[in-house]
Amino acid sequence: MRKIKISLCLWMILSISCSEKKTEKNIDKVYSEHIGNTVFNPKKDDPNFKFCDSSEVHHSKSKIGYRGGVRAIEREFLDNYIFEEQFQDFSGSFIIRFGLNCNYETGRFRWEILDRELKETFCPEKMENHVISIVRKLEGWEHLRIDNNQPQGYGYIKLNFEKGKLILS
Amino acid sequence: MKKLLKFIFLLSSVFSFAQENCLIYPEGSAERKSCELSQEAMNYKQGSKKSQELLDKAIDLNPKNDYALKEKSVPFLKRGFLKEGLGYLDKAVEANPIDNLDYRAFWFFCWDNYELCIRDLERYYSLPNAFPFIFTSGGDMDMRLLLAMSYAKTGKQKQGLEVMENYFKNIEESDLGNLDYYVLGIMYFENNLFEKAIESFEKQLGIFSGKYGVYYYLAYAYKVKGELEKARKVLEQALNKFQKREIYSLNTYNCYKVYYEDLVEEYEKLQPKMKF
Repeated sequence: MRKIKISLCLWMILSISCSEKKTEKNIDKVYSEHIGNTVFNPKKDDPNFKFCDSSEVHHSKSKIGYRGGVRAIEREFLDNYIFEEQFQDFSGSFIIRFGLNCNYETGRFRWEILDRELKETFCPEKMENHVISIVRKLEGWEHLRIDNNQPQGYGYIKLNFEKGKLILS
Repeated sequence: MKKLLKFIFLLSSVFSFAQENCLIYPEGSAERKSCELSQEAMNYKQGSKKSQELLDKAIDLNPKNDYALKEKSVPFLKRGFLKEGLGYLDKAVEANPIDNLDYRAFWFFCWDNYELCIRDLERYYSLPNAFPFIFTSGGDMDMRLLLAMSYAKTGKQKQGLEVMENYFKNIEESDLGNLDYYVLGIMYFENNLFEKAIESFEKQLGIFSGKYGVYYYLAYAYKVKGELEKARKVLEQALNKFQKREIYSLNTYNCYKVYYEDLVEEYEKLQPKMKF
């Protein structure tokens, strides 16, 4: 009887470890048609932002530009950024992705906050909200290399901070 | 010579990327199957569901398939998913440092993280079999240029210059491209060696004159030396050559970026003052 119990325990341990291993693998992953297709989320996204044709949204950062370039983005950011003492705890990067539709409107913002080693981290919530709200309001986006009537795509920007202050690129 | 090596490098890259020889693995082995799946994934659009699924299977079969891991990382990195992309690329580097360190360094440079770029490139060049002529993924710059600029950006201007001077020792004039003398000039500039910087920028203009930056820094070097008329003429030449540009792509990784407005601003500063 004791042997049966031990065997049963071993079998259970093996089963658990095998099933854990299975979940570690990639076979259960579910992908959208393309990495980066950002589905509307009513809790995060502006319902007024829509892609003109959701089947034709490119993922090429090189096809998205900004009037005045990255420098203009940084200037506009600094014009609106109000530094607070609590922000100085953060040194690292914001990588902010977004969609740009054919009406030159942005939406579907998603972002990562990374430390100087580019590992996931966090920053004061107030800073996070402040940074994202400024980026949401940027208006100088343009489509480059327009190859159809309704250009639209996804792009991203990076903003690097040292002790809560923007590092100019 | 460099062009030949570059050609061989690019050819071998393409060869190894698209035509990896899966026959080196035993028939029926997980490695062989993994290799074949990686190749199959390349038939589908980068970042597509099908390509991702095939790469996943390849990685499941052989978690050390660094080619699959690297290819898996590419669309994530290009599309701003750093956490996930780096997760795969780190594993590729771990499995095969010599073939993947440069690619990770390139991305670190793109994100202005010069410390991490230096760390990877120093590691790469110290490997016993490191090939010196390795290029950015678009093939436009030798990675030593990125290393030099990264040193300069982290306050190690002297080291940056050393990298470029050593680079020039082993290269033939006919092999120099669109940015070599520019970066050398920047390193001289950063080390306050303005005469040599001018010489380098002039040489760069003789090879390729399509970048604002060369004119800007050339003029700036003349200005620092007190040769204002020469500085003004260089900027005038640039303003006659280039059209005003309003929109810039986000897809840039030049850490010595110069804008059209910089040329205008410098030129205006150098205009003779009106006397009353």
